[in-house]
Amino acid sequence: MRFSTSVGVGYVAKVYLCGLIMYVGLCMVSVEYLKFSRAHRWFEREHGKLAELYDGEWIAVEDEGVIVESDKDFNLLLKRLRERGLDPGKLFVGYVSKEPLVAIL
Amino acid sequence: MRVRGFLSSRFRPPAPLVEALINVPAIGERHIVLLIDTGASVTTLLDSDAGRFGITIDYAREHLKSAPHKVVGIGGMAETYIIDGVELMLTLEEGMEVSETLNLFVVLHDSRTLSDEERELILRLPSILGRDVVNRYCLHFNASRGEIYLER
Repeated sequence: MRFSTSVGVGYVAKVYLCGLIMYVGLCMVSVEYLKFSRAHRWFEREHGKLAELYDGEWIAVEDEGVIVESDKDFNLLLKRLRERGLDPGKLFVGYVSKEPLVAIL
Repeated sequence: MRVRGFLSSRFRPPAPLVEALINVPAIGERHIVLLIDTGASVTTLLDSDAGRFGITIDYAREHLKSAPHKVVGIGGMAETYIIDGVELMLTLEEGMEVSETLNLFVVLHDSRTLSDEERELILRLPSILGRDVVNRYCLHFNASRGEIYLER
């Protein structure tokens, strides 16, 4: 009887925690998103080195250090990714240039 | 809770960016890097990210709703659309995500009317995290110390 009560308290605590997490709009990040984040951070960190190899090209990065496609033409790059069954919307796709972008937005 | 951003030296001078997961109705979940722009009224998807998400100008003309008011500030002839009920998920330092609901503006240029140089420059422009979301947070930005975060 005592055992079943403690299990019940644990269960209630878990349900309460899940409810609390949903209430504040929080959830855990997916592995897919973590790969995108690592790819982006790597791209920013290594951009100087990448510019020596890919100046004037678009590159698609799947994870840290994993370049899956590159092309000077953005639309061709997207087309090739889709032909390979990769979703460009879930990969980091960035333009590599020795010249930093000056923009007024 | 705090969402950490990045200072990108791909821009001159370096620009504040933030990563997000975006859930667009009828498109699905996608990943994006946004420029934190306190000068922009609304969060806006620009050409290259729209292309990554499969939103071409022909798709937009057929499936998206035109924006109810004109948007000024972005160069060239552009078409503006709006997608209601978009969910933007920002990652907290603790590894959890916080969700923001917004009406996403989509600004698209018809590449057929642009020169090669214009097309390249427009595609390089990042999508924007505007004040519709930034104002829900306290923005801390210290470029000299590389500190960027949204907090509340």
